[in-house]
Amino acid sequence: MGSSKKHRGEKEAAGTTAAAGTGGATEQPPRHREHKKHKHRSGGSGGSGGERRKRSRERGGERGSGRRGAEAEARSSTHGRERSQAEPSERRVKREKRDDGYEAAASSKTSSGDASSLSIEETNKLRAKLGLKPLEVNAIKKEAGTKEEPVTADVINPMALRQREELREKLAAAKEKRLLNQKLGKIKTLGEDDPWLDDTAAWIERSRQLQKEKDLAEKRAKLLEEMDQEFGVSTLVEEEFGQRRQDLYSARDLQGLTVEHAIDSFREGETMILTLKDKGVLQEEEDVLVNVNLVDKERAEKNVELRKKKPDYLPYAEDESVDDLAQQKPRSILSKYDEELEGERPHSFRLEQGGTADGLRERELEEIRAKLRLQAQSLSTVGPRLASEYLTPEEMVTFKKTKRRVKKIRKKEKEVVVRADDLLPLGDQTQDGDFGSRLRGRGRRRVSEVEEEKEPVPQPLPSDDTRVENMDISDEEEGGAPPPGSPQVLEEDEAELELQKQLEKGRRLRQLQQLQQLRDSGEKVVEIVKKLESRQRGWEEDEDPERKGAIVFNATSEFCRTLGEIPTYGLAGNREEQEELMDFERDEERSANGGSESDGEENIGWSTFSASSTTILDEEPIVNRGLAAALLLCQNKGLLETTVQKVARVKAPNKSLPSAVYCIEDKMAIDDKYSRREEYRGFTQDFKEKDGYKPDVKIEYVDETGRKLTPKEAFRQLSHRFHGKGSGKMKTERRMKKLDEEALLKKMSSSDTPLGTVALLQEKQKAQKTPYIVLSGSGKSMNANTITK
Amino acid sequence: MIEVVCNDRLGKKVRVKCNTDDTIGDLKKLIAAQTGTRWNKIVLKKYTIFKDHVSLGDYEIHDGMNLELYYQ
Repeated sequence: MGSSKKHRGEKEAAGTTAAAGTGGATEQPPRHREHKKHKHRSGGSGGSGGERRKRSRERGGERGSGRRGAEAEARSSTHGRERSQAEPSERRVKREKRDDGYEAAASSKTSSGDASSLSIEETNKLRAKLGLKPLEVNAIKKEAGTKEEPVTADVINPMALRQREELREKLAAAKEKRLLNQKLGKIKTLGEDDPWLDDTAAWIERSRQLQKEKDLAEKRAKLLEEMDQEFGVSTLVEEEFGQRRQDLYSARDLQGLTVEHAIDSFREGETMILTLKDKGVLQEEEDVLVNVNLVDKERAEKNVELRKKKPDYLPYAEDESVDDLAQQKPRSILSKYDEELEGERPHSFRLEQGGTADGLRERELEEIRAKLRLQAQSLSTVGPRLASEYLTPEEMVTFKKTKRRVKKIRKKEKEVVVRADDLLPLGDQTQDGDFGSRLRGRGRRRVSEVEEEKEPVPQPLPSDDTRVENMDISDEEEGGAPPPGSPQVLEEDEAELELQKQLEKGRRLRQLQQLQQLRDSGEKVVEIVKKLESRQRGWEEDEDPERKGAIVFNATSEFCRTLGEIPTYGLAGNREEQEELMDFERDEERSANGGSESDGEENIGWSTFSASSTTILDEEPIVNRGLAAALLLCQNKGLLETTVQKVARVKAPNKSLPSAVYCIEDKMAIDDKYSRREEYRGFTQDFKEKDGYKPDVKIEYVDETGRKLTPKEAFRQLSHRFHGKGSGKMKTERRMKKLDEEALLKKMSSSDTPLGTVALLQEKQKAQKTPYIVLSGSGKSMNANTITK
Repeated sequence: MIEVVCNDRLGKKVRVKCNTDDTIGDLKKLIAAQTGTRWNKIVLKKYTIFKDHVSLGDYEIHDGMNLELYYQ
């Protein structure tokens, strides 16, 4: 508190002018806070501090008002006890002055930097801009004692309070009593009797008085009526009174009221009391009648229904789409919330004339509904049935037997008796299985020559198909020799005619076949061989003219030329025939051409070569088998560069040393004379040529994988190297995990979920060819086709 | 009219005059006008974070009280 003493001197020297300076406080109070042990002293000087304050007002230009606030708290705590009565009064005076001054100079305080504050006008301007109402300035001034200048509050005397309360109660009780007495005073007690009960004279008097009063009252009423008539009010008055008579409530008044129950809940012969339903006082809606018991019952039923936990929403409820009256029921979305949003709409019916309701209309409606339901057609089609593989008898009926188009033939009746013997060869014929083959061609047969001989009439080449044979048009037969000597008959049985035809044909065919079978099988073989030879010769013969005429170039021949002679050709011993042929042809060649012998040889070689299958080269891997085969081929041919290109990698600094084994280089060991000789100990200076050289240096650090390091990581790396120790096991694991996660994050697709849900959905859409996807459904729609992806 | 001191312990200390029935949001706006930040970035605290819709009187914020000023 040494400084405080200094201040004391200064302040006294400054004078006692109560300047309207800023409310800066002395330095003393802050010290109060700092040096708590000097509290007693602060207390002591508190009193004098008050006086000093007025002197110190001129000082404290730098005193922040913030300090003032802080000081106020300290001061209040320490000075509260020592307030003398004189001080508050003078302080109040001073305070107002100070506050005024404070406001004026508040703007200057903002530059102080300690705590900025706006004046009231500025604050009000700001508030107006923000849309707030202006400050209430008066409120605080009236308050007794702000934080800065606390004033003792009025002492709350609990005793006085209690007394006041008691008084109040007594007064209230007395009042009540008075009122009661007044009321009771009017009632006659038993002791008190009217005089006219006993005394006739008094009674007579009384009755006369009463009569008088009655007369007076009548007169008055008449007068009033006359007056009303004068004013024209009488009719109104009469109406009023008349109406009241009519307003007697009866059953007819119940017409039109609504009863908020279903009409079915009222049974015949039952009496139910209906009461008006509660409604708000200000509600202008019409009255509704309800029965309390029914209401409770309905509520209980509703609760039971709710508790059953029925599904809110049946997505595939295809029934109930049609209303009772055979009209389309509108299907609303989220219909379960309609009750909550729009309010409950209970069943209700209106009372008709005379307050009755008979529910006739409802019954009629029900009947209509039932009728319509019967009439309604169900749109559901018959479900799919298993198709039977065989025709049912009903369907058989629908088949019409197509009759063959039979021409009416006028022919002489053939008296041919058909015998079983004749039919025998026919039977064989039908069992012939040779119905022709495509290879042989339609109509081409080995026995064609033979047939041609036999057939007198040139016919189109008959096919091997015996059935086809039999299907010859009857016209041709007509052209044939009519059976001689048969009696002419105008009309004949068509079926018999046909039969005859078929029989003849069959006989002919059989004959031919028998002839054919007579031939030797050996002959057939010879034939086959000859045929083969002819084929082969045909090829070679084809070649010869070609070769004789020109030089043939083709890719294979060129390739073979590059191969060169095959020294081992023909050594295997398989090529006897070919060799002979080859020699023969070679001689021919030489004699004929004499030209490019090599070519000829090549060609010969190739032509015979082609027949062989063994080669000296490796079998080329079949390239269409896959990429691996193609690659293998390329590699074998030397098309691939097998040397792996080394990507230029950043040479990473040394890996962090494991913590187990380490050693620290000791650079101070380089103390021997010989190595130190090399050091330069002279004056060094920057190069003059490089004066203007200001490189833009950017030092980048990388870790072992080549990633750029943040400063933190770089420093970590450096410190590891410096200390010679790396991180422990857990730390490195964590770091690795973090790096992996970062890599994964980078790989993650930004437009899709990690599982690729969007892609999957799109694929499903494409597969189904619909723009939507059914996420789930009822059991009907789930079958094997939809379950798979 | 009360005067409330808001201090963010980083050098910004403001004295703001306001009414007791002003809400914290209004107070924040006044502070923002003086400090230069945005009012929706200001968080006022005194043991608990003050909500914007409550008035100063309800929070029992009296004249000269120190509030902590934070930013979000």
